[in-house]
Amino acid sequence: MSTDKTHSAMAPAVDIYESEDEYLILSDLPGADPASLSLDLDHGQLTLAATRLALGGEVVHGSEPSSFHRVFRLPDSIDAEAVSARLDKGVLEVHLPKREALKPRRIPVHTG
Amino acid sequence: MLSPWFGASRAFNEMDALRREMDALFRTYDADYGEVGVGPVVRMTEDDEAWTVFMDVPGLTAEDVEVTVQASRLTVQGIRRLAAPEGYQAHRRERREWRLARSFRLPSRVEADAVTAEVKEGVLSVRLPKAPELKPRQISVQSA
Repeated sequence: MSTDKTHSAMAPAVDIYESEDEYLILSDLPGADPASLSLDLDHGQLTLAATRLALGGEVVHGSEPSSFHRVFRLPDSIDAEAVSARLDKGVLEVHLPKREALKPRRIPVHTG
Repeated sequence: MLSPWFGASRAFNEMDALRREMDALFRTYDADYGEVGVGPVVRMTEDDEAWTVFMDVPGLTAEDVEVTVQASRLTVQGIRRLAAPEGYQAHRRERREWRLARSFRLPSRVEADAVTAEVKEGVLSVRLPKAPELKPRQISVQSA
């Protein structure tokens, strides 16, 4: 699985893990507006986008936060229908299950 | 001879001093993050009532962060730990663990007793209410 960073918005830090059953993306999205979060899967690409909640008041240090954007190229083995995600405490968790046929399978060996 | 704006300009200088102290806080805090994180992670806003400092603390809750005010000294502490999920192998690890431990003196322009803090959607905000004399006041203009 690989990622593309874009320059127009902030590319959030991500961890990518793999188990026998799935890929798992963890991403830091502090201050992301849950209502704005979108995950689009198209032609083997997963696009993550979210805008940050406005701070309120005049920003006197730093800049008004903008948005998060990052694109992931997914392996063919992912079951697109079964992808799920949740945003909690500013951390996004995306579960990308592998297709059944591609999961490792133990072949029973008979003796005798 | 004093210009009629002497008082006002002194008030502005005090505000600048507060900002410099805040800037010092931000520099050291940013250093804790090292190269981690793309874009700004600490911000300050100002409105009529208060200054508010925002820090990105993704994954942390109010229980993980300690904000104390003692003898005009504000201390912010927190640790972010990350555990790799069991049964997974890592392909990419950009997220970092860090320790936040910062302390600074609150300027007299801040009402130290009224400082509040909260963590929401992975962002810590510390609200520093302005001393009453800094808040805007409507001056009634009377006609002669």
